Amino acid sequence: MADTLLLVEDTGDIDRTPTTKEFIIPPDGFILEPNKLYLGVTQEIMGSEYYVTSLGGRNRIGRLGMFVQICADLGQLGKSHRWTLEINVIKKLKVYPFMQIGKVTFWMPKGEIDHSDTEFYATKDIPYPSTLFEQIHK
Amino acid sequence: MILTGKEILKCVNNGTIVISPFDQKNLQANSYDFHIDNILKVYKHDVLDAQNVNDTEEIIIPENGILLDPNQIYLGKTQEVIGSNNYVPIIKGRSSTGRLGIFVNITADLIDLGSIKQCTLMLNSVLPVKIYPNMPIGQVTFWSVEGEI
Repeated sequence: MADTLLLVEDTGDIDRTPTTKEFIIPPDGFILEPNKLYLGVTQEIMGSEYYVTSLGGRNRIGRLGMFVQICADLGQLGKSHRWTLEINVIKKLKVYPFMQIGKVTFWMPKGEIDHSDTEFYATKDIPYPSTLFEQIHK
Repeated sequence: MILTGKEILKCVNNGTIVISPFDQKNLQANSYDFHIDNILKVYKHDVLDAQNVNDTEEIIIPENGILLDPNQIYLGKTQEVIGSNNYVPIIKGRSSTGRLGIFVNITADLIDLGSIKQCTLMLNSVLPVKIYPNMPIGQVTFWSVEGEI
């Protein structure tokens, strides 16, 4: 996990984008709080043109009640980027910059691979807020 | 193995995968984006019972949206009928929903082989968040199997 976090203060709506506050996790750690939503980002650029990338939390992190991906663990074939982490904790948890937080797995695809379509988020290397409401009426 | 978008399209066309209604614009590199139907169910009581039927009440998501309460579990369903006798579907959220703090399922992301219907969604959110009927809320992946079906 890189040292930049976004605290999502408001999830937004169709007429406004989410409100976030960016901050840096100091070397001596930062305490994450339950009932709050944070977006982080991996330090590593990860992805593959041949295998489907999937991201999960480490066993050690799960045991501490930390979600690293809320519901979107799956990457897109062909895309390499820093991954936005969807972070929520069950109990207060102190985290540190550049700590080992998750693990990446690679899965074999079946069928023809199409690299033509680039997913928007897969071009972002920073923790990036949701654009869901902008997509609704498209 | 996980099916690529092009393989999902091939299987929908030859009938080995059902996604109905189907629109090619929802195909991704290795998944298909599905939409939420406009009916939700919420539990009537604060204490749920793991051994008995828990009463629910139905809510229709109005056109101008509904604000999800973080302390509530909402049962929803996909607008699309989804399933396959040959591949195992796994339901996931989308990057866009995860980044809003919305859980689209709670521990049960795996659909049985041969179950072809609107899939149940188990919604919970970290923060209060608005959802709209028919919004693209999740994605489904399809996995090849080993062994007799």
